[in-house]
Amino acid sequence: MRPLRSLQSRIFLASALLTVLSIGVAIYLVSLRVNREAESSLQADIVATRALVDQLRTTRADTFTMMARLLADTPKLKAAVDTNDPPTVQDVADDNQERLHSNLLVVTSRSGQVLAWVGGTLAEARLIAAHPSTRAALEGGEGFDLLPASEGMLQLATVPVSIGLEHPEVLGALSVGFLLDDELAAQLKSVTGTDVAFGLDGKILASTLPSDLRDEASSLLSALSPRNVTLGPEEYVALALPLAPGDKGPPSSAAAVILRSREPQARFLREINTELVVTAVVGVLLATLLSFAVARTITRPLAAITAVMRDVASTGDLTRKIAFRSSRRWQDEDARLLATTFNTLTESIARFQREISQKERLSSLGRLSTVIAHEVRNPLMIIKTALHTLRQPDVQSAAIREAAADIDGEVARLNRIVNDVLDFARPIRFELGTVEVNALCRESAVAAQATPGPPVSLTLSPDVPSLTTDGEHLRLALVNLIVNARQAVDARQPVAATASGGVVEQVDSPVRVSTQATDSQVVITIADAGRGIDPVDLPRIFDPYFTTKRGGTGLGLPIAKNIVEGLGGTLAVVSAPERGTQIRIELPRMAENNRRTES
Amino acid sequence: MPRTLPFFVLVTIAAVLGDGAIPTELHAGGMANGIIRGRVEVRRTTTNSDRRPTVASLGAPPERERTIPKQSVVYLQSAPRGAFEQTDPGRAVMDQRNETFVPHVLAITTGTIVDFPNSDRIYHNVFSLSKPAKFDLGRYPVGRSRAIRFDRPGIVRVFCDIHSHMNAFILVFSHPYFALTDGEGQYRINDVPPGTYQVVAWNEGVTSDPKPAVVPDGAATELDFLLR
Repeated sequence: MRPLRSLQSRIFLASALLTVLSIGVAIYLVSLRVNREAESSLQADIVATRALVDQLRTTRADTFTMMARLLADTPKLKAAVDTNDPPTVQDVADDNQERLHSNLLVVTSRSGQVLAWVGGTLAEARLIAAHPSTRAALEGGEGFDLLPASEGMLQLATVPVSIGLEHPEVLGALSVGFLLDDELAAQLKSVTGTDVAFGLDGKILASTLPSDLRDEASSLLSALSPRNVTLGPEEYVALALPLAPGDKGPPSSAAAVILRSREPQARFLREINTELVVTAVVGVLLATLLSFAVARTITRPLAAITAVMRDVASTGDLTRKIAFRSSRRWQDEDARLLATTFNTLTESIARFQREISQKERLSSLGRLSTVIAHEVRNPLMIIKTALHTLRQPDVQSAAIREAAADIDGEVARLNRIVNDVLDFARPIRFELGTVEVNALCRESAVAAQATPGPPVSLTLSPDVPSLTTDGEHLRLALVNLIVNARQAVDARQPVAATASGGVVEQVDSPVRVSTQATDSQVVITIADAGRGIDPVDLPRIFDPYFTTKRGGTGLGLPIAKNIVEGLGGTLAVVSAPERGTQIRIELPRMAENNRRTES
Repeated sequence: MPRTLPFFVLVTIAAVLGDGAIPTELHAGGMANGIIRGRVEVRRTTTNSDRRPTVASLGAPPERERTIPKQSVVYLQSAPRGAFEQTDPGRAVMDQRNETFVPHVLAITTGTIVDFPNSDRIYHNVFSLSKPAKFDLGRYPVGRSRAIRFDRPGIVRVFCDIHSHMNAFILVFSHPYFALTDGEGQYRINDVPPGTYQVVAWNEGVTSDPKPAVVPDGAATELDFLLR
């Protein structure tokens, strides 16, 4: 799921997925619809073709019967048949067959003998003369039959040759036959685009099918509803049409089979499907490219904004702006809004920062003024008093020395105040070296106990390694903190118990300094049992010039914090009023002190 | 093309008539001739009275004269000697009226010229393909008449090539011993020399079996026929 974490990927994947899905559904629906339409059009085609063949069959039957009637009614034929003379009849029959283009023409005498025939063989002619329809015609009736022939199926119209109106006299019978042969089937196929077969008694007699498939197709003569069938390499839908020989004819097994190949339909469907797939592929590709482009219109500005943000975070340069006026990638409204807002935000932050620092400077200046006013005026007063003493006319040498010492002490004090202020105001320049932390703690404790006050106990872990850090500054911080701790204890217990300046390793000492090593850190803890810090003051204790002590500059803790943080460590304070305070300094084992060189 | 059909019976009879029959009995001159008379009954069932109207009936006039019952002809199959010399060829008329040949049956002796006047209101044609007389008089208008002489005995059926239902029979005999029946089917052959003869009745192409008839001297003999 990692790719989904990025907005660009999500937009891109969602668009691509949506496209694929919609195109897929569209293709599926189109394909379904096309298939259904093709199938129904196939069925409609075959039914229409069957109707056409049926109509053709009826028309042919009517036409041939009409032809036979017309021919039988010609006086020439009547006169010829009346002679009962075969050569006479033959001449007339020849003439008429030429005009009718019939495949077979048989004239039968009143007694049932063949008088003349055109087309076919004598045997066939005799068969026709003996056919029930011919006998019916000699009785004055008519017949229409379907007979098997050597080249197909014969549609045979038989009518009487009769004369007279009220009591017609039958002179003979005329049979006119037309073939339903391969040629006719081929003509039908050229008109309907459908294969056609004519069959009788379960045998295909004429068709457009290749001769080797006719036996297979013969079973279809009874397919009264559309049937799917495979003949040779092709698939067909087959439908049979029973060929009733005529209006009054006896039932017959003759039938026409309409065979519609599925191949054109299959080809059409294949083409459609290929086109659909090509469309889908092109569509998906285009959609992919488009969604990629759209995703980029969002993510490229985002990346630019992110880059500037990272830059601002690492350099702290709030004047950095996202330059979007010139680039085309910023045409997106949302991205422009985001960039504009970001620019406004950084401007506001910079402005607030400037205002805060201005305020801080003013308030620091105010507090400094108070401190200086107090701290500087005291030494100045002492110096003035000493100078006054020196101006006395009878000054003792001892008094001169005392005054000089006072002046000297107060100048030193003034100098220290100036140094503190400068120390805080000036950027700290660290000078790194290998430092033995335990030794440093011990030295700091000694330095801090230069003045009388409570003793400092040391609990130093031998596991604590040497660190690469700035020993001098760290010592300054530790001394400041230990001094603070002793003063805090003093403030609670005004009567100090010790006067000794030596290091007392005492567990229940009011000020304890301990070291400890963890995997990644060295921890220095300065704990006191002093009066603690008022919770109200706790948030402000690292503010410069904040102090609760007379004579304090309010710079000790801020300086210590600056140093520790400057060395890559942290400084935390936990305090309870009237119980004591614990300051915890954590320094990284790996030297990262060069991370920051300025406070 | 081989022909295996038997010739029509009437044609055979006509041929026999044409060749001249051998008299079965001879009589000396001076004897009085007799008469053969009788009735021919035709009981022919109409087989196709219910058939549908044919194309032929489409052009037919809606009303027509009621045709008289088809006449029959009775004749001697064999004629007495010298009968052929006794023929008296003259002229006969077969009119055409109301798309009908009138009379429908005409019996003549050889050598007779038959006129075919057109008394109708439309054109007509007269032709025949029959063996004894194959002819075609062509089409001719109302008021005209054309004629043809029948020299060979036999049965000639005439048609009109414009009107397919029109037809008529002309029976051509080489002797004068024949008679047409009247409305009741009665016939009478006069002037038959006494003797024994084979007599045949004909109706619309159907011939009866020959019946023997003995013609007595100067008297009449009765002979009835039933044709089916």
